[in-house]
Formats: sequence, C-alpha cells, structure tokens
Amino acid sequence: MTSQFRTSLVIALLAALFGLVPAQSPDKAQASSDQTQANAARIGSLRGRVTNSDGQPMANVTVNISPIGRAAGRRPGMPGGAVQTITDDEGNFQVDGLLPASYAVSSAAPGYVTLPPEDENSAGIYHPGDSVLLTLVKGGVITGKVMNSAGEPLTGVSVNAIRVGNVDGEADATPAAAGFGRNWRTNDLGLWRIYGLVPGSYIVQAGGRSGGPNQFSEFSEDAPTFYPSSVRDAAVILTVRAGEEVSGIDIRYRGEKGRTVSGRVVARTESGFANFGGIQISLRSAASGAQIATTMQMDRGNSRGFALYGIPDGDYEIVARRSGFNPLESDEVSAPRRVSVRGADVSGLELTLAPLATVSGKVIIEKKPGAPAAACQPQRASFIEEVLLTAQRDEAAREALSPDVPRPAAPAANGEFLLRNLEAGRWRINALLPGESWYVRAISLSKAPASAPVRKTAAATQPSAASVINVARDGFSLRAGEKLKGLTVTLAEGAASLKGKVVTDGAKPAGRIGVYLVPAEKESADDLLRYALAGTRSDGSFQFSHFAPGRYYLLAGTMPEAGSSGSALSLSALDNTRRATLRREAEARGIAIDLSPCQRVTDYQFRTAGAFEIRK
Amino acid sequence: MLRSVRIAAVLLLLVAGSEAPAQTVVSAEKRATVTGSIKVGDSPMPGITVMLMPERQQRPGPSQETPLRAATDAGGQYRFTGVAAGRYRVVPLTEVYVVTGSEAGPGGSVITVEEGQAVTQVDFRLTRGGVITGRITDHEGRPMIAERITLTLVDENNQAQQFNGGSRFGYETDDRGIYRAYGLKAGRYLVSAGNDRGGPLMPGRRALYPRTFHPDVTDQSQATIVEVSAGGVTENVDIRFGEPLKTYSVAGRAVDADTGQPVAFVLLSVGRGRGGFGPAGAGPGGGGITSDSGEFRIAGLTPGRYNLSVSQPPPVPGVSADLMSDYYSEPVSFEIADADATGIEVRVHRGATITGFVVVEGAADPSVAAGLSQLVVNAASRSQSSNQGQRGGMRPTFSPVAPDGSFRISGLPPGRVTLSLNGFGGPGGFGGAGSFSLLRIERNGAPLTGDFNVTSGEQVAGIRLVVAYGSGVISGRVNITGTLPAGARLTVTAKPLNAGGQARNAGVDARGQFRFEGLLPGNYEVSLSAVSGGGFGGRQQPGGQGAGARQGRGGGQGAGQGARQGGTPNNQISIPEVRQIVTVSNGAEAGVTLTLNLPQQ
Repeated sequence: MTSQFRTSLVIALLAALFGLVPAQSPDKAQASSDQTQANAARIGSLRGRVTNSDGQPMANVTVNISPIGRAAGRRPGMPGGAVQTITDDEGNFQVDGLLPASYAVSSAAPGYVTLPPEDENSAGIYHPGDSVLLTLVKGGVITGKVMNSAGEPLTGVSVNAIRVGNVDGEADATPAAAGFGRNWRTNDLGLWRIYGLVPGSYIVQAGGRSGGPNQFSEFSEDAPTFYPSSVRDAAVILTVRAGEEVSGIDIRYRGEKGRTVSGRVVARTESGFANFGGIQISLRSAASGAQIATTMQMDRGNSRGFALYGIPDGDYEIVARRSGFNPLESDEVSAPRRVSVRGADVSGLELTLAPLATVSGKVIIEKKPGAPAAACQPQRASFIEEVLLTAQRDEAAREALSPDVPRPAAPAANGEFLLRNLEAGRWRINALLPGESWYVRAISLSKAPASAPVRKTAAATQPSAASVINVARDGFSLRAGEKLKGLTVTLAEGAASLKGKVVTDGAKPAGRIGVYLVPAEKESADDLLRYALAGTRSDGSFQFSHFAPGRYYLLAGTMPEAGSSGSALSLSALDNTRRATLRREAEARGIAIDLSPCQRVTDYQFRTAGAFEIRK
Repeated sequence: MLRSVRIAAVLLLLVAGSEAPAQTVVSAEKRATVTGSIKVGDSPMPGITVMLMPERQQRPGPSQETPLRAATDAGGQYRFTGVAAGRYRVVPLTEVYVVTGSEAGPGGSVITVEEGQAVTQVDFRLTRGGVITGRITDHEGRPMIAERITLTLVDENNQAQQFNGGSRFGYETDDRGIYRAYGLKAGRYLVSAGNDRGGPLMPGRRALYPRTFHPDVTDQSQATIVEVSAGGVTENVDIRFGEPLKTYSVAGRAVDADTGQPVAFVLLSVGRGRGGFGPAGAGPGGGGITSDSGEFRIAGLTPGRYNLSVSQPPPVPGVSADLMSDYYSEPVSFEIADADATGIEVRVHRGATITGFVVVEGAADPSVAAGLSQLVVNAASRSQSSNQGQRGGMRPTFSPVAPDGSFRISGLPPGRVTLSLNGFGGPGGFGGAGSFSLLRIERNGAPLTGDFNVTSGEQVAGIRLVVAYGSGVISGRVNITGTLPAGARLTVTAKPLNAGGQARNAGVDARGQFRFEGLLPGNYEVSLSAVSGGGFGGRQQPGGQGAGARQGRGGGQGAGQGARQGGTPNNQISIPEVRQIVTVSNGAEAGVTLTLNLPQQ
C-alpha cells in the first residue's frame, strides 16, 4: 500500500465520518461578525436532566445539542455549533456559552432511544435559558433468523427494520431509518438481532442493499424478502414498544433475482472540493411513495453514473438530489422519472439536475413607542436568531417533487434569512417564535422593480401597483430555481397568550377536538395571522401563544388531520371561503374574549355545546 | 490488532466505488475470461459467489466499473466472461469459511487481465472457520452494548500474527452484551475490548474502559488464550471490565501572542507523547475549537503528558475549509495526573499565507480544467524552531483548489515550505480515465525547486503549480525464467524520460502482469525491482487499534505526486537489471514485456 493510497483512504474515511456532522459553513465573515457582536448578555446556557421512563437518572449518557436552521457558524464544538456533553451521576447536564439560536436536544446511549417530548408545544425546540427534560429508554428489539427454502441458515444477509408508523400504525414524523443506521446482518447461524428501535410499527426486510452502498454481499443484488416471506406490499407489520423484544421473526428467504436500475446524473456545474457533497439517487414506489432503494454517488467529473441493485418488478419514481455544503445555495434535484421494472434491468436513465429555489428576506421587530407595560417585561429577552422560519407548501398544490420538507431557517442577528431547497409552486411562510412576547404582525413580499427579472405577466405592466404582496394572506409563488428576494416578516411585541380547558355540555364529540381563535373585529376578517388553531389534550386543555392582542371568538372544531396539532399556524392556508364559514360559525356562537397586550390568561373555561366540522 | 479495521476500510472503499456501471464499450472479441475453482478441503464447493472488482492502481477511490459476480457450479468452478482489460481483485464472498492459499487474503487475489486473454486457475481453497462467542459486561455487571471486539491471533510464543478471514464488518456486542465472531482461522486468539488510548469518548459511549482481555485482565500477558479449531465453537469467552478510566479535561484560552487578545475559532489538537495527533474537533464538553471568547475545553483525557497546539484540519470536503486557520502556535505541554488542567494559555501567531493558481499546461479542454476543483494543494512546513520537538517539526497545511484553479494556504509558521499536489479519492483524483500530474512549480514565473523559505506572517503570492492531464496506459507482463526467492514481490517502475510527472511504481501480480494508468504522453523507462514481504494486508501492525479514523490525522500530508514509492527500501532484493523504453500517448495502451532471467534453484 503506497502512502498515497493511504492518504486517499484517509480522506475518504474522513468524508464518511464527517457525513454524520451537520453541514458546515465556510462563511468566515459571518464568524467574525458573530464574534464582534457577541457580548455576555447574548450568551446563555441550556441545562437539563436525562431520566429513564421511571424517572431514574441516566448517568454518563451523551447529550447532543445542535442549532436548528442556522445558515452560518454551525461548527461542531463551539458556540453556535453542535455540541456534545455527558450527564453527571444525577443525570444532569449543562452547556454554557451558547449563542442565541433554536436548539434541538437529544440524548444517546447505545441501544437506547430518546422519547419525544410530552409537551407538544415545545416541539423539541429549546432556547438558551430553557431547562430540558429528556427521557431515554431502552429501544425495542426485533430478532429472528433468515433461512433459504431448504430451511438452512443464511449468513451475511443484511436485515433491516423499516419504520412505517407509530405503535398505533399511524404515520408520524419519525424517520423510517431505524437503530443507528447500523449494518445489521445475519451471523453464521443465520440469526439477526436489531436493537435500539424507536417505538413504532415496522416491517423487516432481508437482502437487498437497504443499508447503504457498502453493503455488498452475495445477497445484495437479490430482490429483498420481507417478513415472513413476501414482497413489500404483503409484509407483516410488527409493533415494537420501548424495551420490548419481538422474537421469532424468521424469514424464509426467497432469493429472487432483483433487477438493476442504472443511468447517469447530468449536472450543469461542477461542485468543487470545498463544497463537496454528493448525489443521492432514490427510487420510490409510485403507488405508496415508500423509498425502495437509494444510493449515494460521488459528485465528480465523469463519475456520475449510478446503479440501484436488487429492485423487484414494479412501478417506481426515480429522483436524483445533489446536496452541497454551501449554506447559501440550494440543493439540485432532477424531475421525478417514472420507471417500470418488468423482469429486466433498466438502464440508460438520464436524470438532469436543476437547482431548487431560494427565498431571502428579513425579519424585523416593530418597536412600540414609549415604555412597555409592566406585563410586557419578559423574564428573558428573546433574540431574533431564535426565530425559526419554515416555508410550507400551499395545501392546494401538493405535487411535491420530493417528500423532503424544506428545513427551517433561522435569521442572522441582523434579521436576514435565507430559505433554501424550495420547489416551484405556491408557498407560505410560518414563523416559530421564542419566548412569549412576540407575534407575527405581517408577512409581505416587495418586489424591487430594479432587480426583478422582466416577465411577461399582467403584473409586469403595472409594476408599482403589484410591488407588495400580502404573503400572509395570499402566499407567494416560486419559479423553478428562482432566487426570490424581498420577503419581510414583521414581528410585534405585546403578544397575548391563552391557556384553558374545553368543557363540553352534553355528549363528547367524536374524534380529537381543536379550538379555533377567530378575530372578532370586522377589519381583521382577512388577517390570516389572527386566526389560530390549537389541539386539545385528553383532559381538554389547550393553549395559544404568540398572537396579537384584541378581541377573539372561540370555536370548538374537529381537528382537520393528524399532525397539525398544537400549531397555532396551521390555518395559514385557509382559503377565503373556508375562512368566511369559520367566521360565520364563530360569530353565531358568540363566545368571545378580549385580550390586552401581553395578557396571559391561564385558566380559561371554554364551554361549548358541540364541535364544528370544517370541511376541506 | 490483526483484525484490522484498515483492511475492512480498504475493502469498503474498493466497493464504494462500485455503484456505477461501466460506461466504456469494448468490442466482444477483445473481452477476456477469468475462471477458477473453489474447494473446501479437496471437495469442490458449489454455490459460492465470487466477485471480480475492478482495481484502479492509481486511483483506489471510486471507479466507474461495476463488479462482476459469478457463483460456483456443482463442480466448484466459476467463470467470468466479457471482462474488459484491467486490474481486478477476485474475492470469494464467504464469511463462514476461511480463504486459505498463498496470496488470498480477505481482499482476495489481484490479477491483471489483458484484452481477450483467458485467465485460468484463479483458485481458492476454503476451510470452515471457527467461532468465538461470549458476553461483555461493565464494572457493574451490565451488558456493554455495541462494543467492538478485537481478536488477535498469536503464535505458540504468544506473539501476534497476521490473519485473514472472518467478517470484514468486524464483530460487536448486541444489546445483551453478546458477541459472536465467526469464520475464524483455527489457532490461538487473544480476545479484548475497550480502549487504552484515552481521548474523548465516542458519541454515545457511556464510559471509557481500558483495553481488557478475556476474562478480566488489562495486562496482555495475563490474558487467557482462546483456542479455536476449524469449524469449532468456543463459548463463554466473556470479558468483564473493571473500573472505567477516570478522565479529565483541559481548559484555557488561545490568545494572540502579539496583542494578547483572545482568538476565536481556532482548532486545537491535543497530542500525546511523541507529537501524535490527539482528539481534534468535537469532544464531549465543547471540543477543541476555541469559542468566540477564545476559550476551549477538551474532555476525556486520561492521565498522561500532552501537547496542545493549533492544528489545521485534514482536508475533508466541504468541512475543513471552514476550520482553516490563519494561526499557528508552538505546542504547549501539560500533564494530567488526577485533576483537570485549567488556565492553559495557547499563544498563537498569525502565520504566513501562500496564494496562487493551479494551471493545466496546454490544455483548453474545459472538462479537464473542471477537474481542478478536485485537487488539493499541500504545504509541508518545517518550522525554524522545530527544536520545540514533540511535533517533529513538520506541519501539513492544505488548501482545496477552487474551480478557477486558485488556492490559498494560511497559518504557516516561518520556515521551509514544500508544496505538493493531491486529489480527492487518490492522486489526480479526477473522475475521468486519466489523472493530473504535477509538472513544475513556479514563483512569479521562475521555476521553484524543492522547498523555499517563508518569513513570519509573509504573504507569498504568485505561485503557480503547472499540471498536465494524462490518460495513457502501460500494460505489461514479466516473463520469469528461473526461480524468485521465496516471498519476493516484483515491482515495476515507470520513470518519465521526456514526459512530465514523477516516476510511478506498480506491483506485479501473481500472473506476472502489471498496469499503469493516467500517464502523460512521452517516453518512459520501465524497470523491474524486487522486495521481500507479504502480499495485500502484509502491513498490518500488531497492537494498532481503531486504525481507520485515527490515521485520519495524516490527512493530505506528505503524499505528494512524488511519493509513489512501494515497499520500504530496506527489504530490497537484488535481481538482474531489466529495463525497457516505452512510448505512451494519451488515451492509448502501450504493451511491454519484461524478461527476468534468474538462476534456477
């Protein structure tokens, strides 16, 4: 082995290692400006405790604290970057020196999993000054054997548990990859044991290259066999609970030859060493959207050929996505291509990459003249970097190229932000706010006439008239690869909050109940930012925060769908008709509340006769 | 440790590049065949999958070819057809059996295939492997989860031996603390787990335990040796850890030596003993990067003497440029006994910078120029004050090359600097069929040979690294009359006469074939030399643990375009001189036959 061989080996290994680290920014300028702006008042701490499900402390476990949505300065091991610490004998941890940001906090120990936070409203996002309670429990186990048709054990078959939902079988936000992304394989007795599983519903697959590009074996070109001995659609779903073992999951391996789907990714630009990412090619079921196979390809010169092995017959969609490390550029994706595999390899596919769009703008905080009311003195000042912005597709247009939800972005200290990786289409902006005192007063888009590209639209003939778009009401549209500028998110101080309980007279309505807030003032009828929806917990309690002071009607309604719970912003996509219906219903019932700036109502009893059903 | 992580990593790398199918079309009559047999003992073994993996000698990184597969038939025979010319590794895919035979390691056999050639008798002999299984528990008797096992094969004198076989993925415990190592060559083994190097805890590790041998000893000489027979199972090979290692932290701050001001965002490395690179980057509790107020804290250090200094990150795409520093420092020595080290001040200096361009000579092909951004410029600097010892005086710094060819290297201490060029995924590192060779280095238009001096904080501009792009091939064979000394390996050197670039070496495979790729056009002197030593994997070092990532510190250092030396010089074997001149042109393959006449033995 020459020393050069070793050097390149080392580079590749490091690349592999660092693949696990959040993307880094080369933005030195940002770093130094962070540095100069930093002062003691801005630096904070996160402290917390890790326990098991019985409340016993978990000592000596790793706690990961990583900033969310920061475009710059995300360096591991430093303020503003991801940091790790270890709990003490009492399960406590503390990390000091944190810059203002939203942080995701999780704990880890081999074989254990962090349970999602009980409080839905925290959404697992923390800010310096918060205290964090984490529950670390033994993950679930699935174990069994893989045999051939003669009942003989097979060695070296990769086995993978794919999470398809929560323990009740419902889809949720937890990623499908399970158990550390480890390379689970059968041993010389054909036995396998997958541990550290997040509680949920799983299907188990043997064979195929599910685990990554390096998992080659004598079985890695076979079409995978699903437990007990079937194709994916007929796989038996297993329920795995924390700390429990599901055993005897013996798989009769079918050993069916899979097909190869291959082709080439066409890129218009070279990505350099400093921005080196990779290209991921994913094959998804056309019917269910489930990911069938994926491969990571080097993004280099002429080597953008790809091949996916072990693909069973079926109809698929294939997409390539190039992700770089440059925090100012969007990923590039190819238009999804339909692929039908029918007893033969498919080759010669060409997937052409095109950049996704970006939206940039500024978050500004409107200062009220004069001294704030005593009620408005927050316990801890919030910082603009603790705001998280997400782009959400207009509900009406769900023709997403990829199921990946664009990641949230946090503004810099000067309020400037950049949202990346957006597909063409109509979008809305949501803001997740820290503390208690801010609310979103307006979201608008001003198209600067000088820099706007010339377009043959009706708007272009009257540039001054259409220069400001009310994004909160209408959303905004993006063309493929557009770099849209000029979005302004206006925050105001003096937000009110409301905690309470639904008290139903008579029969309890079926299904989960949500509570709507509807502005009572006529002039606010079209101000979508003043509408809100909160889910109730099993005891009927609900809470709203970060909304404008004023007069509101309350209305109980069935929750539109799972997953929109707790968010006061999930109504942003209400169209005019539905909004008018909601308003009429709320007005008719006439239950109203007046909230003054910074008012914190904590024990509101909401008496309601029944639940209004809002239809789509 | 002989169950070498490095070998596993090499294999993974070879295969990592196997995702894309071949793009080249070779006419049918030029296709070669490769055949052989697999036996267990003397019986033919049906149903074993054999893989034929392209092996790019110049660029061991990802290549374009798909590995071919074949399974042995009822007679134990396998056959690959339609094989394009090139170097390949033939690997029987089995984990239950041990592959025996002269040169078949875990990496299989390397062969060179010529156009249309029928390569026969690439045979393998298998033996059913043995099994060691047991349980690993912590100092409180709880199972150690996901703990990696180290197996060391020892001879009758308990000296560590090289061994092949077993799972290339290694072995680790499950959630019950149970491990099962299979496919092992019969013999005597030391079984151990844990880590005796100190350094920060790996993410998720709950405690740092000293390397402990079965059953519960940290002293290797006290370890119980585990006997493994072919096909036998040795059970209850448990390891009980004692008390975890107590670890401490070092904390302090980096200050500018001139202004006394704190310096933010510099990467500090803790080195142990003789200048070894220690934990860089994120360790528990804050890692080795100074905060915005210049402070740092690095945890997880076991008692011992350490050095602390500013270091440059190894070249990792997309990551390392972020941590490139304009600073350097002399190492600061500190000792950990039974307490944290605090208040350590690292005085840093603003270093010299070198800027310039990498340019392709004579080439206007934009697809070639586009490959420049895959390159890395390395600066090895020899500090004037290297008598500070500890770090050995040499300090690698690098810069990725931008798409326009520009580069910038910063944070260099004053002293002698040597520039070299490297690439991602191997020298040249370009995804095409060829590679870049460094022709010369210029400073303000004048040629620059060897090293040059930089003074404190100097801004060196106007450096040009002139490269050429080559895609020529020399494919050849060595005909041997007589007998080579046992254990000798032949190496061919191709030395450019009127072509650019550096001399390169290539190994001669068991069939006497060799191959050079990515050569610049011109005349080469092809000569033969011999060294003693094992084949693939012969460089595994006993006792080395957790190789892979640790070696990462070497990064892009050293290995420039000139460092293509094969075996170490001290094991040279004297053979008669064999030389030949070969003319190479781009995109073409030049054939050569070398004849080595040796005395009969």
